[in-house]
Amino acid sequence: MNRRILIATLLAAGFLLAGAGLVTAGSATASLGHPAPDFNLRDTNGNEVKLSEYKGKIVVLEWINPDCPFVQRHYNNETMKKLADKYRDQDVVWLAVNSTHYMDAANNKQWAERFKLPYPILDDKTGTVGETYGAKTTPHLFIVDRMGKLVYDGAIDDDPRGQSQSPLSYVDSALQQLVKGAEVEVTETRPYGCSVKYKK
Amino acid sequence: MFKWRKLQLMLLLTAIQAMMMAGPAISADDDAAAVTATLLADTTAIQAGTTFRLGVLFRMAPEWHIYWLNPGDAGLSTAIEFVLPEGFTAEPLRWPTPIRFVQPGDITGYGYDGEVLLWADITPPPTLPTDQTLPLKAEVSWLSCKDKCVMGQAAPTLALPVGEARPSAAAATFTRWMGRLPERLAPGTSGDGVSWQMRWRQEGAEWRAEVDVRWDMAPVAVECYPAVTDTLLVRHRATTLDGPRSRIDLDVALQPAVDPTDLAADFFAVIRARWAAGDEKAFQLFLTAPPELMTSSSSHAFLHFTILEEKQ
Repeated sequence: MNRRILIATLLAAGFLLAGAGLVTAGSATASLGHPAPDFNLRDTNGNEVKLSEYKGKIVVLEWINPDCPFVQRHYNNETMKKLADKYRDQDVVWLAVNSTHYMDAANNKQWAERFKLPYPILDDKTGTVGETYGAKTTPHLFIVDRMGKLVYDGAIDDDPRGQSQSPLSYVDSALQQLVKGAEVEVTETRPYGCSVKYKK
Repeated sequence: MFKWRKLQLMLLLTAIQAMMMAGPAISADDDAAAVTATLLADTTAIQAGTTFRLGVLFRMAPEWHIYWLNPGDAGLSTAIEFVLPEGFTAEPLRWPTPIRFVQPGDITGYGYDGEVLLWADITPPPTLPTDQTLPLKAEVSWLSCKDKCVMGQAAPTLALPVGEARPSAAAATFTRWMGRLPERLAPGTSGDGVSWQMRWRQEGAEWRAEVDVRWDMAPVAVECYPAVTDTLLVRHRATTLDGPRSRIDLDVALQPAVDPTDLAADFFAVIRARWAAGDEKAFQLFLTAPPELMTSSSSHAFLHFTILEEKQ
């Protein structure tokens, strides 16, 4: 085989993968207690964001879809923004990920500006990272500890219908434990919300 | 006065019938109108002490669906709260066998499309003053999804006179949907053409229910819809078909429950079998989680309560 063509093909393949949100960790899918798969996605300004850049910090990954009524409720109530603010000075990084197949950076930017979000929304419209993490719902939350290990997978809180006066925030509890250097007690809950609208 | 009320009621019923025949006007563009909810009773009148059925008929625009009591990987179960006159009691909601839909990303949902009736048995008090019309209401909320999801709510009402109960025009709708209820099977009992048993297996902190189903005639497909409760998180793991035998594996774990004194161990799973001729049957299997699972010290729930107590 012509060597130049081979290299060109490999480069093209690499380019395509990068464009599709390249997942680079050894393990194919995310699983609790194991290293969280690395990814490389772009924020609303076109900047690359890699999970591995945040080693040593606690990272919250929040699956988002501005069209989903559960997401809309939490954003109108500022659930995520308040939590991100609460832990921002304690080495906690918040990253929202949008795997909705019909949305792009422009949609994300509009949402981020509307709610003056202090964290980026990453574009995963190909669904690659969402499927690697097994993100099922919007919202669906994952927490990665300082060692890069996945330590929480589930719902934001215990109130799917939004009717509780004082919902119990699983993510808040987990972050409280993590910043104290403790183990996360409730590591897995049932996420609720709209299904992630992956491409068909 | 009585006649006038009766006339009003007749007009109301006629209007409902007309609506049912014509079908609600649904515009495909109008997401909010994708689902309509109508309140129906299987009786023309409320008779003291005589149980009747009260239900909400949901009609969905093409490709839209609403959710079963366990919505699956995503979604939200449909909720109905009946608002009844004083002294009336309502049994738990009856849920016809759902369908399963698999969305991109391997996201499994359980629910209904097209049309579904969800209802409850209602029992009026043993005595009721006659010559009155009683208001019945359902407070209904649902999540409906197609390419996107929309929250819906409605509070349909119905007024029925007190009197001798006769089957209403809607009674046939109830009969039709009762035929879609799964047949209830207690542990160790066999149903129409089927018998089953189960055992529990523990793998580390994980509990698995292995349900062994034997059919008189081998089905070509078997689906399982596990229910979730406030206490237990139940996931369908696998179904294996082997001629007249089917094996269904369910993963069962404690939810991070709120109240440790209210840990109910009972749950159920609905299984639906289809045969080559195209006929189908559904069964509701009642299961009880083992005491070891319910008191497991490694469970989420108990660790969780410890933390709450520390805070207080």
